[in-house]
Amino acid sequence: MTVKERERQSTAAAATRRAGPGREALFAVGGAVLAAAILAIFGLTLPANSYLLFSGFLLFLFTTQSLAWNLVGGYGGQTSFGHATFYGIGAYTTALLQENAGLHPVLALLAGALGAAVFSVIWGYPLFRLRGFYFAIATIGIAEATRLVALSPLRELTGGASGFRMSTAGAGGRTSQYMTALALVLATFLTSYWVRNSKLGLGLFALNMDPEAAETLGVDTTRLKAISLALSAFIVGLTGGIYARAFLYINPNDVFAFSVSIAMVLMSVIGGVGTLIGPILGAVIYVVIQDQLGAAQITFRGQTFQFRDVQLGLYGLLLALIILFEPAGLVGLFQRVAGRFRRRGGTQAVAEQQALLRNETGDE
Amino acid sequence: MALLEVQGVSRYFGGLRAVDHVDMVVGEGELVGLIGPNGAGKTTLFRVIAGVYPPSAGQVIFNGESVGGLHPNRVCHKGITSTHQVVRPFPALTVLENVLVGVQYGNVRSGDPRQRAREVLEFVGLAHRADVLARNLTLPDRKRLEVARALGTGPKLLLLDEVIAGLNQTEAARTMDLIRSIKRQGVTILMIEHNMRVIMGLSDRIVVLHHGEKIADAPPEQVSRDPKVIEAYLGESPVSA
Ligand SMILES: Nc1ncnc2c1ncn2[C@@H]1O[C@H](COP(=O)(O)OP(=O)(O)OP(=O)(O)O)[C@@H](O)[C@H]1O
Ligand SMILES: [Mg+2]
Repeated sequence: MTVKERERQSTAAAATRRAGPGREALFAVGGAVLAAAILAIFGLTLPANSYLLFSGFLLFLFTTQSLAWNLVGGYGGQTSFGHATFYGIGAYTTALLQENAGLHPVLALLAGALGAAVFSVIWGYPLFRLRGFYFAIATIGIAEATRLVALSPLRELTGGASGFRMSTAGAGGRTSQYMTALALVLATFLTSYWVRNSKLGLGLFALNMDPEAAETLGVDTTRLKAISLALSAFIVGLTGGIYARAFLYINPNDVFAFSVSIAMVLMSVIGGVGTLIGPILGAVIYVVIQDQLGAAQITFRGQTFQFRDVQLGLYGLLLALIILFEPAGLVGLFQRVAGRFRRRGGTQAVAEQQALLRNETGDE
Repeated sequence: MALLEVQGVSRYFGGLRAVDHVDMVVGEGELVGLIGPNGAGKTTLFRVIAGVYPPSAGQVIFNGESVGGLHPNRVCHKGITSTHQVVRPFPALTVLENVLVGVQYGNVRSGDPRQRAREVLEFVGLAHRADVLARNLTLPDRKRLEVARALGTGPKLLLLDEVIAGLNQTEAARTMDLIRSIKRQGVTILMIEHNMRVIMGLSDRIVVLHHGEKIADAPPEQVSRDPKVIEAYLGESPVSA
């Protein structure tokens, strides 16, 4: 195998190498300082107009979701098409506890996240026995089931198809929403970074690449998947609660929507599934596309197509293309391009550039 | 005292009896060889012991406890780990990280895991490859990594599935030395190997499987003279096989 071939193989890989033991503490401290700095900079230079404030708010929420999905879908390779269920549960639990039970907003938010995490454990354990494709299908079923339950049997509670309206009392201004979402996305990034370098992350990578080998080395694969799903659900649950508090109106058809689940898959896949940075890149791109094309339409042979109506189809196509041609998404693409220009420093240097990716069956 | 007792274990795949009512015992500190023609059921027996397949019938007793049907990770935590005949490293992890999986999740978890992983790599002679991605290893090194990863879990019983097959003479000799030193550390070993010189040279005792059934269980010299064994190998003398 030539160096070049090795480089090509390495393209399906993550942006950064996993840290050694001594460096870990350093990275943690450095990461915290960096996060504080970003928080300060974004916080001090608040966007001037409320449109930008609001766009920033949305971008942070989507990035949070993308990073959270990646914990289980990327690191662990358990592709969930049903994360909307956590979003919806987080949103409704937070809204109902705050509105009907008068719980403190922060407590209501945490309760919503906890609710999503507990719910994930309940179905995670049985469903993790399923492999790949079947797991993905089952997650769609779960999310749809929760949507239908929220829509009809729980109509009294959720407002059914007409949705649930919250009083403006606990809303907080645009600025406070922006800051909350910013803090959450930074915390999620640090979590994602920490998991990546932790024992949990190593176990997830291992079971992703070869579940049987991981099991014989003592990895309780079902437990690890459940832990990562619960963590992911908790964070997505938080985004649901924050969304509810910002919009003061939620509807089962919005918060449990399939498109919410798809968005999370899409952002991770576009950026580079299983990588640290990829989900962030993917979220930025997704949000920009939605923002620019959200209201777009074209007329073809007298028929008008709204982007909104065909977006699922377009995104599906995009997913298929990425998975076929560049499974490591943008991060993989960057690495491939960088590899072209990099001086060839022998195997060791090449190996140093390489990192992790999912679902490799080896190269024998 | 018996560390491992396999009692009437069978494993069927549909109508195929891959392992058929096998009884065998492995004593503490023993090195037992498991041989048999291709398709005899050796790997399947390993997988039943390691928990990958539940037995269709029979019991696996380890340290006096029944472990048959437990998940592989539970079996590993009891002290049994197996290598894989077709090597299956985690390709995008470094060699050190591969070993670290077993160290952090295995049976013995004490001390600094990275330090322990390094010691294991030192022990098997892979320390100089520690930071290389496993997918970039040569086949002999991959086989070594299989052993290193398994050792990292701190097993009491190590199942080695053809870790020497496919190596050249020098490498084979190195691995044989390695297996001897693992044994000296007090690890009980059950190993599958086709090369008779290797298996005769290492084993305290040899068990022979044929069509899923045990047809011999005796010290090496005796097994090599056993007519049933010679017949199983299609008449050719197993010594030259
Ligand atoms: N998962 C499986 N499903 C169906 N049949 C299987 C499975 N695994 C093994 N077999 C069959 O069981 C029999 C025993 O296979 P096994 O791999 O245990 O043999 P072996 O003694 O290890 O052979 P070899 O020396 O070639 O490695 C073979 O006929 C094989 O085809
Ligand atoms: Mg075999």
